[in-house]
Amino acid sequence: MSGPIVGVYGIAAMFFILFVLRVPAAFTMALVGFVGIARVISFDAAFAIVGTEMWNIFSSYGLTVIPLFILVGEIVHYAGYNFSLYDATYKWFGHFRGGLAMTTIMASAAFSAISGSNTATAATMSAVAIPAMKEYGYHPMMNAGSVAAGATLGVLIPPSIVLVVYGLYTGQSIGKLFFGNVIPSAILTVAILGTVAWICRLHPGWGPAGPRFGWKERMKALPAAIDILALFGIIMYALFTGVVTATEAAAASCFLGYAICLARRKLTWKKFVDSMTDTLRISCMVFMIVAGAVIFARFLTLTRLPFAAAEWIQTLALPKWMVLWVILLCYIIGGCVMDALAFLLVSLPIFYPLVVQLGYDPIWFGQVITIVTTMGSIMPPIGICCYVVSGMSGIPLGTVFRGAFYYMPSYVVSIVVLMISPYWTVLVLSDLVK
Amino acid sequence: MGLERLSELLRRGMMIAGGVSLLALTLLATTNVALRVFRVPVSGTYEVVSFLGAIVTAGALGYTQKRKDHIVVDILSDRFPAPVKRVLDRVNFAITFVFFAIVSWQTFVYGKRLISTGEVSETLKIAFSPFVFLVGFGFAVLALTILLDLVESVWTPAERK
Repeated sequence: MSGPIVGVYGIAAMFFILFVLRVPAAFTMALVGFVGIARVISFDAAFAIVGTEMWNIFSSYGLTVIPLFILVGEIVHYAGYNFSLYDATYKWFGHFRGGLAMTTIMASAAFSAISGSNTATAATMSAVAIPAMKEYGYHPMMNAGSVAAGATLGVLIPPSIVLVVYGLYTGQSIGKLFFGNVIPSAILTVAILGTVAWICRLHPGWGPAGPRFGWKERMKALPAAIDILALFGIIMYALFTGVVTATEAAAASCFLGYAICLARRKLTWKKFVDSMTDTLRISCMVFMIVAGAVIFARFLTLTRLPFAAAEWIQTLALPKWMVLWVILLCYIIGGCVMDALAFLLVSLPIFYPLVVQLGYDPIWFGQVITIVTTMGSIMPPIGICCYVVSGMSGIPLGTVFRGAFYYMPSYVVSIVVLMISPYWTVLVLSDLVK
Repeated sequence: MGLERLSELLRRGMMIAGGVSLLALTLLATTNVALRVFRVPVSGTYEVVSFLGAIVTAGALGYTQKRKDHIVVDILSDRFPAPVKRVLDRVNFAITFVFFAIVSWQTFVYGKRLISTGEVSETLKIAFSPFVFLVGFGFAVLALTILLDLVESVWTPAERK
């Protein structure tokens, strides 16, 4: 037994350990990768690889951006900016039918501009938006669905952890990836807002309109939103000029975040400690997934399975766009059964070279993959955003998944738009970055 | 139980180390940006930021495990009867304990190798093995936490679950 078939056994073993033994996804990948490397080369080699590889990943300069972007989000969250953002958007848009759900989406988008993860956004918005929507008689499916769908923007809108990991893995510039993401994020946000309007047409009772606010009140709600926009602007500007690294931009925004919160007296010692603790454990989760996926991918590469798979797809002689859809389908199925980030990392060694060979732009592909990945986070059975929303709000998981299902077409539509014109949707902005 | 209290202390200590590293990292990178504006960047910040970043993650290993924060797929196993689940949990804890004990041990081996070959960091020329040992220690705390989970799952009577 040798070659690619060992890789196939490895994948089978991974699913068994994941589903039957309930070992966390991150640990499973590292474990199977370790045993696999021992099988393909030797135990000594496997020992040496786990020792050095864990250190290499933990101490990677590029990856230090992850805890920092999580920290900015946590600071803003604990300082209560989520409430102010929600309040501001509500005063402006709450009087439309489904306005509160739209408010939720837009506040999620604004919050995502400072937070890099969808679970943080889901947790934040569940706490803020669901009680408000309940109060105004919104249907639970509308509540939960809009929060879950809005939260997926967290992973898409820069700073995005998926884009960071993608950039480091493929050697693409993070600045370019973030800028190329601006239009796709806007497209998806509009598509999700459109879905809310569509749901309100289908079920008028699900999202009654709220009261209309005067201009004075609208203006009074703005300053908090301006703080967040300024912070976002600084990060993007720094990355745009290229004078700082992504890590430095993130660190500076953490520093500024703390400074703003202190100046506005929004931070207590307890909130400070909580923001730190949350950041540490969330980034530990992300790092373990990255480490597990890297070790597992090492093993897969040793078995030559990725190359065999890529060659096989090429022998099918399908048209370019069809190959791409096959790949995207793999991501959708993969996202259903595995943690999206983990699946992305495991599959990139297989698909990335293939996509580049087909002539697709790597920056553009990064956006498409991020949209597909984030869609996986509201898909049953393990859509992580739905779990968070259900856990935080007490709305049954099934209702959350059904509510979120309405938003599926918006992701597909966004991908199609991106495919129609890669230049005008992504490259027009990413090419501006030095 | 003495061992449980010890592991709690270790987890907390490592979390503090992680938190302090995160703050130090933030300040260091921010200072470097500020100094670059005045054209006097500190050399070697990249290295120190990376080393501190390693402690940020390693510091939270035990705590994250204790809170069971890592993503688990339980769509299938939720349907298993409770006694089967308990047995599978023990297998799970036993395997992951052995694995992370190996990872911890190998990280220490790597750190010792760095000392014996006299390897230093590229720019600052400092010995960075203490950081490697701290990461190894983080994995040891993780392994200990899993071991105590295993002990608890074996010793706790079924009816109390």
